[in-house]
Amino acid sequence: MNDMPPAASDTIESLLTAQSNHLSLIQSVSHELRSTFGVISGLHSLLPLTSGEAEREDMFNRLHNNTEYATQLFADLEDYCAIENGQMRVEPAPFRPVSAMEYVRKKALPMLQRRKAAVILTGDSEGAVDSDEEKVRRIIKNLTLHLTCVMRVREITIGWERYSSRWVLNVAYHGEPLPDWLFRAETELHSHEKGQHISLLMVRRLALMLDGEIYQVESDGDGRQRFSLQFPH
Amino acid sequence: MKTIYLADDDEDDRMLIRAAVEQVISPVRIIELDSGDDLIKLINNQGISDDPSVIIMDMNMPRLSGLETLGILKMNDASRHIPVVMLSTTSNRSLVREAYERGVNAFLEKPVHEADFVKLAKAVDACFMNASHDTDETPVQPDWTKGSVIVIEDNEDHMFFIRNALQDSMPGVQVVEFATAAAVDEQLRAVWDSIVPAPHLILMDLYLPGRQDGLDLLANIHQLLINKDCRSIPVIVFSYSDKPEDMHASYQRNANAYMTKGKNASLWKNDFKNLRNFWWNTVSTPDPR
Repeated sequence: MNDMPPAASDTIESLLTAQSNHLSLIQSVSHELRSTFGVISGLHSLLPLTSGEAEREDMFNRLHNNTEYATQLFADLEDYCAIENGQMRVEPAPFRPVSAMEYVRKKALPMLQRRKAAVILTGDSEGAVDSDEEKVRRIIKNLTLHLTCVMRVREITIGWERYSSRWVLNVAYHGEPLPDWLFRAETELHSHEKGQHISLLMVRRLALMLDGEIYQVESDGDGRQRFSLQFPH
Repeated sequence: MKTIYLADDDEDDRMLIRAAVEQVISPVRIIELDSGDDLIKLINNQGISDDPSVIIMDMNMPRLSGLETLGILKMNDASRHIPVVMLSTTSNRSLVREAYERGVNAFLEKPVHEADFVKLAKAVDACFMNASHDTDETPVQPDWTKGSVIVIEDNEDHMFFIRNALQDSMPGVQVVEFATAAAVDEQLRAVWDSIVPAPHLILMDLYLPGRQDGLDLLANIHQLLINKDCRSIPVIVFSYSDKPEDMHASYQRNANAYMTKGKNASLWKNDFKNLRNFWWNTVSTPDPR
């Protein structure tokens, strides 16, 4: 090892660090997956024992929610791998934020209804921004999923504003604050922070890909948590 | 491999415990010691492995008593994350109280019959070593109206299965539910004295939603139990995580036991039966609970 040129030694070290980060991500995500599949298996075992329509419906709803969440976790893992392997590229083009938001809300509607949650959209319905619509959709989808599935938030308000060289997404909800690491500027996270909430990890990675910034905003006294995502356009 | 440190100066008791443990837990490494000071020396010299470990220790031992050994183990960074089950022939309340004040995880009267040693081994495996055992026995049903169970769980679906398991294993028990760590911090101290019947057991998730939230809460609950002079109320962490670092960190913050949620949530009722048999029917406490 001592005979290696410094560059090779650095490369090996960064590979080992990357590998250890990935392992800690997989270990943490496996915790979330095991928890979700534990519920799915349990519901399958209990379903034949239910009595009454209301109880059966409740169990089916839980089954739907957990299956959907598990599917999403796998999709996030796939996206994460695509980013890490350099397969995901930024493809900017003009689009209207309102259509991206409406698209996500429509897709998430069955899940939101089952969880008795709502996403309220506020913002200019005409203006367009220049960014990667697909990645913006993924960011919104992951935020919605995290807040409604993990934090059980009932109502999320998403607004957007457009300025000359940037555009901003503003999110507000009642509930616990999101973890600090989401708002930190450093590119690398500590290994224990990786994958605890893979949906948020994806939000952070995708925002960084779009040269975006995520920051907390002071509450305006209504008790809601607020944060913003700012992107160039 | 699971490791059990067995410190007891009575060779016959050690033999009975070893036989019961080997019947129930496999594979297992049992390290026998005939005194507390040998146990301390061994841990200081060799450390403790990261695999699930538990110390089963007699209270009355020559040279260093069980209580003195316990005090040293719980003050030592190398060993305070290892659960200690103390066995004794005494039911002297002040000694039991002192054991809990020094941080014992569970205090039990020493079994008499061979079958009771087997039950003890099953309970130790289920409560401290990440195993799930079917309980085939029909236990003496305690009066559930004499104690409440506090459940802290932020996952609504997990709470659903916990309710289900409690209903099955402790029918009619009063359950007080909290959905967030913040709610416990804000409300539990204020409502503690008005919980009727008085709290008997606290069951909590660790990831609430983050790991640190659960660890901070464990420390706060420990302080609350000290303030309320209820140190012997068991705090059981019930989590999907089987990471050694999560278990160690929980024990370091005075969790009495760490149980891993079984893969199929409908089978948690088996874990809860073990929980009931051990924490409701078997352990000794200084107060009539």
